[in-house]
Amino acid sequence: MRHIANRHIVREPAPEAAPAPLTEATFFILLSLAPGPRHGYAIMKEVAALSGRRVVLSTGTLYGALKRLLELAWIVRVPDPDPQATARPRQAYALTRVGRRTLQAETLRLKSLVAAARRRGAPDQA
Amino acid sequence: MSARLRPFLRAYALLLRLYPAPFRAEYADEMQGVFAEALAEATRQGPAAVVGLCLRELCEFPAAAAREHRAGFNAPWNEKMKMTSLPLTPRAEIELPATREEVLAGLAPFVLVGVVLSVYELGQYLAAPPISTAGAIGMAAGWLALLAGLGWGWVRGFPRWVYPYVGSALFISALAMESSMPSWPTLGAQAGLRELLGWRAWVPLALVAVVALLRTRSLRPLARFGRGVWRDWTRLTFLGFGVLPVFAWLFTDETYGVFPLVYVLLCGSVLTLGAYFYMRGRGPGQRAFSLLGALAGFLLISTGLSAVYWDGRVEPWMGGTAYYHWYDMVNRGLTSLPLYAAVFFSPALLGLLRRWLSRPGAAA
Repeated sequence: MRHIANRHIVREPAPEAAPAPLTEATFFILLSLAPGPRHGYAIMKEVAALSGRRVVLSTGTLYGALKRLLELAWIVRVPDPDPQATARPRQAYALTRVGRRTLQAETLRLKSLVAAARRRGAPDQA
Repeated sequence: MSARLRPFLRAYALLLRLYPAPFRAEYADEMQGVFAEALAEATRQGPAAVVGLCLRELCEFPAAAAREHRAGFNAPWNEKMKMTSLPLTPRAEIELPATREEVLAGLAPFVLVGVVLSVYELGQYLAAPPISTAGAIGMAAGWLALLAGLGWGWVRGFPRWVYPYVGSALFISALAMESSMPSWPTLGAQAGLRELLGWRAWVPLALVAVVALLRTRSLRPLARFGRGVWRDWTRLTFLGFGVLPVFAWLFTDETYGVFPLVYVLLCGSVLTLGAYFYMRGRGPGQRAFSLLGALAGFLLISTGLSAVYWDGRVEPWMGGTAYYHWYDMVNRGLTSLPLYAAVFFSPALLGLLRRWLSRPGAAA
């Protein structure tokens, strides 16, 4: 059960039926966590790399998104998989089962969009 | 970390303070760590990368901070109370000094009223209508700001800083009942019919209450108001303290020259100082002494200035005879201190009652 902005308590819809597309930042954050847990800076770098530096997150945007993903239980905090002995302790994040299914559903949705565009003969090369 | 980068980290830490307190409590450390790593990486890449990083943080920060403030504002009230930086139980709030934000919020009514009234009196003293008009507009804006602060404090569950807002709003509404109507129709009455505002003066406060109740959909803030007073009686005294800035201004009625301006400035300053020490005080004892000291200062200043102004003064309405001399004012001031202290600190009886009820064996 989760509170959403208009305060109605609703059950989260099954990811396969989730109607709202994810924002690019959210999609890339989830995608960056698909191989395994990462801490905040690693997520930031991975998002920039995955998007070809088209999506570069500031710390405010990143942690605002992480906060909302934690509230939705799409990600969860885990011990840092790459602790550095001399650096300050870092917090890592990992996809939950629901988060992974949401990512898969969004990937399928994007694939279907691209397939529809190709059927129409839309060019997919610049 | 290189010494050249420390100013960037300090500037970033300052930016973080503009996020809501619950968000900061949970993520500030991580965000500082990530920014430090990003900054170190950017430094290795060159000055352009550092500039790019800083610009990106600066440009995205307003939207990110606004988003978190809006998320906190829209959260259901019960969740919002869990998100506040203070625990739900008032005990810690009673014992600890206020945070910087709470101190600023608690001082706002005193500073606001002091500044607005000073501007108005300055205009009167300089016989400069634009300045007086600015002061009058400031009064209206200040009234709206007081009501907004009261509403915000209500929604937040009546933390310590909102009590002077309650006192000011109640006092100003009661005063306004005796004001005459404005020249535009107001809730069925209009100037020219010799009508006073009467019950209409309470409409703004009633609107604040309605909005706050709709926003919280709960009476728990009011219960918290009562519980806060029960656990810390000085809150009621602080509520009455909020009345004093406007009360002080009323003393300047029928006075002229530089007196009202100096009076408002000095009294406003000492009351603001008292409010500051109250908010920073630990426990009811320190807070009570803060308010007592400010009250004594206020009466001392009031008595001294009044003694100087009214000593042998003859005004037209006095019919050619001086009503007062300086010793009359001093006598009045000295005798009024115990009365004021009794009125303002009568809530201490609540504290005594609570102690008596919680004595060992009282529950048996």
